Amino acid sequence: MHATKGEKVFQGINYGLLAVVSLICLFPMIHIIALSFSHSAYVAANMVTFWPVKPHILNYKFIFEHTSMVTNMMMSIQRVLVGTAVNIFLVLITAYPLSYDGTELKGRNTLMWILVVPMFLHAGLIPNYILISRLGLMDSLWALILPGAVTIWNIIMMQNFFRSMPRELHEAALIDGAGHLTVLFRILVPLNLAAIATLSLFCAVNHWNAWFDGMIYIRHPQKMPVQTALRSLMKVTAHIVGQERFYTPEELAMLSDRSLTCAKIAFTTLPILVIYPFVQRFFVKGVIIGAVKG
Amino acid sequence: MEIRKTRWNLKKNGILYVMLIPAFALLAIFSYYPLYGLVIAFQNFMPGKGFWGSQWVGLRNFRMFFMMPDGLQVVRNTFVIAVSKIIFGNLTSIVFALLLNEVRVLRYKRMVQTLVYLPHFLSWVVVGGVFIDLLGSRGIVNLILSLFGAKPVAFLGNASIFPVTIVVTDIWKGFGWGAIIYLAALSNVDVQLYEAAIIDGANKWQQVFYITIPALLPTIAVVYTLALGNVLNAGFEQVLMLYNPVVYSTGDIIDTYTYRAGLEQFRYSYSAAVGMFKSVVAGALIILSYRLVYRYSDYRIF
Repeated sequence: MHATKGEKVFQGINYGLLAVVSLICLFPMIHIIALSFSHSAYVAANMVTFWPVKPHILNYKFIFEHTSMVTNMMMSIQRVLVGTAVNIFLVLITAYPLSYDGTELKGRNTLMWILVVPMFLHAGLIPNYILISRLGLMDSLWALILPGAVTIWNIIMMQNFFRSMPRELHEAALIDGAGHLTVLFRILVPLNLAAIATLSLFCAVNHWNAWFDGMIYIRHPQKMPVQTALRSLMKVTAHIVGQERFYTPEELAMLSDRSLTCAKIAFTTLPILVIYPFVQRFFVKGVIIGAVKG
Repeated sequence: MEIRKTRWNLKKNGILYVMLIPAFALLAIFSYYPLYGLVIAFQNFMPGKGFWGSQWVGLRNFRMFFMMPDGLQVVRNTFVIAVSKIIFGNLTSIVFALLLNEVRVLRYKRMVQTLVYLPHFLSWVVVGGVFIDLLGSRGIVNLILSLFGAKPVAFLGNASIFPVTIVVTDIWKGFGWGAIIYLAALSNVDVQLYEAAIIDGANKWQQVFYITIPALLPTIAVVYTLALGNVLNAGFEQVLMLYNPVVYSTGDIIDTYTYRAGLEQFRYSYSAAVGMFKSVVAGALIILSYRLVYRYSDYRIF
């Protein structure tokens, strides 16, 4: 194909424009990270853009020594692992029966309705809050996992995947005497590993990023997930007050509330930033399957 | 023969129902049971008296919401912010998808995609924290503006600017991710169409206007129709992170209003009524949007 001069100019501008757009998406995070490593004098003087100025790691030292954020990070990791496992287990054992027709699973239609209605009809904040506290789940990890344990949309997607598998596969195994659990975990799960991996990633990100439930159901600061802890720490304006005795005057000069807040943001985001480049393509695949799937 | 087969099915298939128990039990407890708490919207609910001991007040809580000036204001704010997000957010995604679709260097394309999808994976606490710093009076955005001689802008502290800040930061977070569905549609366009058009002497612009954009139209129509269900979702977590009392007049939305009434002022019944108003309207709009999509496109969800 022969490109005209106009097309070449357009291509040049387009590549440049997309570079700027990409930079706009990345820059805020880079800027925050740069601030988190910079000397407070330069932070205050607005002399930090892409790179840390007079870099130091005192802000991070402060996080490790004088905040509960490491504990909160552990709570988040626990939540992600347990929460995702619960989500996916429920997706599998629920999607499998629902992938059968009404002739094999009597009442399938009714069951589907019961499953779908909660997607649109929510009781709202107050009844849920009352329920969680009556169940004695306040301050418990389960308050963050159980209410959202049934990921309705994922179940619908998964049963679509199961339905698209050739029927002979199950039937042959069932006639040979295999039980439904064997069919599900020995045949269907291995064949749908890519889809299951993608759903797991989405569940994991949702658990990692959730913070509002932690804000209303967890009162004990040590038990909060890290995102919730970050939010409550951002409400504090004077972080360093009371901690001065742990630092030399030179060190205190390097610290500031602003760069400390930036360090907390960066610390919270670190796991996502590290894992994201490697798993990004799975997410995209998942969205495209979900969107194109009819 | 027939009977034997049925019995075989029943014995074998009983476990299918057993497998459904955990999920449906959880739905019963955490989704269906709280629904009966909706009755508090029609009461003057006192936690000490319980659901059945509290006084019934009919529609008083709903009337109160619509009679108070802040009620209508909150509905209007919600609608304005949500609709702006839908319109401008999708527009940004579409333009971005069209531009990215023209990139021929695959490595470059993938690199751009990796970077623009990133904000989608950050929580609103993180993104909120980032923008509170960036948009503050001493933040880098105001620093750049000052280089051009502009006065500092209170992006988060000026009621007339706040909704714009909300919409723009939401676009920043979501436009790349939102473009995926359009990119998928574009990748399905038959290459032969372009080849035929080139033979017929169509230039690049003509190809875009007569092939690419028409190819996107069904997707655009579906996305905008399904967005109908979101006209009252202005972004609870985002607004809760970024707003403050100074911008309540334009920035307070139904969800944040419900949250404050319920969990900060302990007006449980009033909060439940406002929340219920929202879910009823949103539910109706969702059903309407799905029906429209079912009728006019081949997009299927179930």
